[in-house]
Amino acid sequence: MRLKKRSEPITESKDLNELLKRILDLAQGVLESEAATLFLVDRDTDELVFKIVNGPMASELQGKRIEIGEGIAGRTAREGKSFIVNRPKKSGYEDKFDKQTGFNTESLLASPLIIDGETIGVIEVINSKGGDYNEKSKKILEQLAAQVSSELKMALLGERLSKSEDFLNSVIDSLPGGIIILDDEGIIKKSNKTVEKMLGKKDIEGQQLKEVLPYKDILESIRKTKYKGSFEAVIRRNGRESHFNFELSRAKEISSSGIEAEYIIIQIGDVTEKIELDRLKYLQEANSNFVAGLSHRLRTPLTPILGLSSMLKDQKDFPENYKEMIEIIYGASLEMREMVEKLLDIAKIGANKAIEIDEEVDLSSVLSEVISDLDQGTFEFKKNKGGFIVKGNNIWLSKSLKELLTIGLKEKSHQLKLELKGEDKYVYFNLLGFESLVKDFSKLENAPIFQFDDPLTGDSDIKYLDLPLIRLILNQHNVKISVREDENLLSLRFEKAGK
Amino acid sequence: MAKVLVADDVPSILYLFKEFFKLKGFEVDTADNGFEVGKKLRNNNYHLVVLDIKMGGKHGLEVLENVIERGYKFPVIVCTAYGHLKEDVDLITKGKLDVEFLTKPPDLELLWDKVVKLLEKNAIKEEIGTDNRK
Repeated sequence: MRLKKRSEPITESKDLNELLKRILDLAQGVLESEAATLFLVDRDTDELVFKIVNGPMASELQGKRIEIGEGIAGRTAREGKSFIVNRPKKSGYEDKFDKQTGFNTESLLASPLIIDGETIGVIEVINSKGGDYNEKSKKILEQLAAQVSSELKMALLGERLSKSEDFLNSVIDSLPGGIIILDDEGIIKKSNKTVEKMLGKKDIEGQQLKEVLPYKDILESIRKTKYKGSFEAVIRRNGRESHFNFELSRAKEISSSGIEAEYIIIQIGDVTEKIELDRLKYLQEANSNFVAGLSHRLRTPLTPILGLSSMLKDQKDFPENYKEMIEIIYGASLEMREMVEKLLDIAKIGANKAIEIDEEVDLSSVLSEVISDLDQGTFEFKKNKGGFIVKGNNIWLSKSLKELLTIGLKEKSHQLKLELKGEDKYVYFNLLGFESLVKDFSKLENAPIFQFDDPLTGDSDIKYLDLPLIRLILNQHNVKISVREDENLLSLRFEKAGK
Repeated sequence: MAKVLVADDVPSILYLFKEFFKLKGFEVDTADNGFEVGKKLRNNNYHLVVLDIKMGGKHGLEVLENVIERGYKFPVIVCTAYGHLKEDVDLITKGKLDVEFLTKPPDLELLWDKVVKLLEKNAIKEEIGTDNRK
């Protein structure tokens, strides 16, 4: 269904010119004329252009122009009706090209080329060899004019269609999701590369949907939506489970001949990663809440155990073995208190909440270590629905991230909280340091946008860097970033596994 | 004798604080819910209140708001299992009430340090034993 892209106007098409020339030849032959010309209107200049010229003066006249209204051809174009002029000089018509070329116009018949009421050109025959042009010859020329008009109309429509198809194809291909457009017989009229990649199939246009999507439950779900609405489905392929979101809508197309055709548009989004992330997030949150709850609950019974044992251990009139027992209870409860504190820290880390650490560390070395890992590979990530596409090379992305961190650290370094714990490194800082970089933060629910110009080229071509993207990049390099969002505060945490 | 009100909905914790303050020479009163606290505050003079936050009846934060509204001037030690509530406590009481915050399980030495600090501070303003209900 994809049409070949046309790089030239339809009126310059070789095929069309040949066709028009054949019609002009026919007119010239049938009407036994010495010469024939096909003019086309140039809308930009309101002139008639000698498009195809047959006859002794062909080479001189080809490509020449006359104003609409000028001469008999010009008048034909202006008035949109045929003219017969036999012996024009006697009728007072003077042909300026006759003067220039020395050609002698004895008789002339011209008919307009009309498409949808609009004159797009003129067909003209000159110097009848079989006597004057008459009403019969006029009728013949008008019939041929109608044929030329029809050919031109088809060609022009084709050009428009071709242009809109090219445009449509490029739009569809650039969409992050998969697109399938079906006709009313379930045949795929259009698709994009994304859907081919998703389904692992090629050249699916022209095939039945059931051949391309041989999954009964999905086809059944599609039918159930009555081709309007959405559903999610799982496809198992090569031992892998992929989750897809299907969105169906209908579109009508009315052709130039007035025939209505209905199409079904199926948008397919691969939500496997999102579902997996949501599931992990849910599990992580549930886990954190459980651990935090456990920590809080343990504190209550621990309070009297620790408190009373600490009071008892100071009693001097107990026997030695009792004192020893109390010391053991007190020591064990101190140990338990430490464990309860740790539990809460674990819950906070799981819930992406910052924990305050007073330890002094060399922050810049930790950050440079994190960043140094970002210097290879190329990235191209597409965010899901409601978001945007981000493309960029590794250098730009890592530089941007570096800039983000550097500016953030410089401006509000005192707000940084950092912990070096065992082999793991955690870096905390909040968004107050990035005010100058953040646009419309308050308007966004889940995806704060960081706006940069390309630090290497100064281009603003790729402007947006979002947190899911940063997260993905860092994940590629075994660095995890997590986010804590409050009303007007955003905290990021980087976590890098120690080497 | 200095008088303290200890409020917590867990009997073993009430017992601990009661014994602790008795040993330190205080007269100790207890309440096991927020409403009880309000009632006791209206009918007694206390030099110190030890308050849990998540209690039955009335939430400890609400109790603190009532204390401020009624113009009570005694110091308060908040002792709760929920460390993150410190921000809320600060928000309600800052500049209006002398408050120390402790997370459960408290270190009793630390608790005593805070008690001494608060009572000394309070004693500078007014002598212990005066009516501090209003």
